[in-house]
Amino acid sequence: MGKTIRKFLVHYDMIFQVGSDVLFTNMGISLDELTGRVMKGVHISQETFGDSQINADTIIWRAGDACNRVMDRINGLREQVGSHPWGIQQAFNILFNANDPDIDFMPHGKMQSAPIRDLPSAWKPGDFSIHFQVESNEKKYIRCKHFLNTGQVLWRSL
Amino acid sequence: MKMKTRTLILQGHSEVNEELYQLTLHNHASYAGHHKYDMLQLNISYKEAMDDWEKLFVSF
Repeated sequence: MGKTIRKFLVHYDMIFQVGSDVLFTNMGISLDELTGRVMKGVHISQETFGDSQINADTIIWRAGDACNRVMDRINGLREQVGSHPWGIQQAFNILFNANDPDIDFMPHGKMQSAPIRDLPSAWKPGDFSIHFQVESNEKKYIRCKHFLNTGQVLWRSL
Repeated sequence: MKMKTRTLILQGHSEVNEELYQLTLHNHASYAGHHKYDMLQLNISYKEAMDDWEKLFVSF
């Protein structure tokens, strides 16, 4: 993925990396509007449940020096987090705790919202996207299909 | 005049989540089309990317 992102950033100003368990739920919000005037090299979502502080299933990479610096720092963490099951997400956790100046750590609920009613970042109409994270692909499929068919969230518990 | 931002939507998937991918593909393509972004689908899952750290970052 990293090689691909590096390659395509030569041709694009911005890359939005998104997983297959994410649905866009507000087509009217462009990525420029989503990021606003915050011109960082990378925009990524914080997480509000579980052990990780960051969720790496939606990432905006913005071509330029700041993005290159972030990639270099992630690369520098390879030894430290290379065997960690979260991989790049763990690298972002470390950079989050270091308050990395080149990364916009968006509050959960802005770049992605959750199908979990108990969270402050629970999905609501008008939100940019919903992310059916953590569960098995079968359960994700059921929730995703339900949302596409009804426009309603099949809520799950924490 | 402001230059239009060249943007790519990069969607990751693999055969392990093929059904989910098929379900979200149209939604992702609709978003990309709405904003005239390009879109590319990568045949690599999140887990694969996480498991193959060397492969993921060797070129950074």
